[in-house]
Amino acid sequence: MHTLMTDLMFGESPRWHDGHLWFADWGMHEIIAVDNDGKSESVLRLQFSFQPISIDWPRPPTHRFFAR
Amino acid sequence: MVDGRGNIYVNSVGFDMMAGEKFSPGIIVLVASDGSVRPVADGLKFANGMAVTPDNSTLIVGESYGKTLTAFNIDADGHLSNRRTWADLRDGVPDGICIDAENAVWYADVPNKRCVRVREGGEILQTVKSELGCFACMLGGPGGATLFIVTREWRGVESTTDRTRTGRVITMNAPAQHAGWP
Repeated sequence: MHTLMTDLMFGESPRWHDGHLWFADWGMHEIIAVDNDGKSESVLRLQFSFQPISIDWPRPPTHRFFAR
Repeated sequence: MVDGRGNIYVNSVGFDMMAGEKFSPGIIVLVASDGSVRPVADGLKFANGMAVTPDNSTLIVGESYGKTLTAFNIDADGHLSNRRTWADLRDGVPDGICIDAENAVWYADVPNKRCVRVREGGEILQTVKSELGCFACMLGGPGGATLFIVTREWRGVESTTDRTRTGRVITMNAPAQHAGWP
């Protein structure tokens, strides 16, 4: 077992997409993408009280959806 | 979650656990590609993670309080029918789930601090213990057979809202690749 990332508040909804693991940090109101080496980026930081708990991609792909 | 045909399934626990409300059953709604929103299942005992098989024929939902994985057929119009118990998890409390290429399901379990791989009918194929509560899991990685688990310290419902940054993503090699949706 290997630790890929630490210091998250509340990870939810991991999905492998386009070479990265994407997930929602519910507590930080943030969507994060991390690659297999642990290099991560904040894809989206929500500037309001919405807490993302689930993410997915529409098919065919156009936009991303969030649920809380 | 979104299945391979573009049907969006959203579920609701049905009560505000964090506000201390008492249990009330949850639902699944279908958001179809025409934008319509229709309830397609009810009476779920804490609806949680959902996944759809690769052929888009079956939706599986974890019922955390029911301690089961429950399956439905997905009809041509996206409606759900033929509800049945896919796996009785005994003491298992399913949170996030995913499906693998051998038709098994991995489920994350918060209070029992583990991820478990089960077959239809409930046979346990593998258990992975964690020091932290396991909230969700997903197969992926370059070969599709890495299991990613999001974990966090768990001391009961009250700890859901604490601001500590104990959350992690951990990985391990799984015996079968990702399959299905999401």
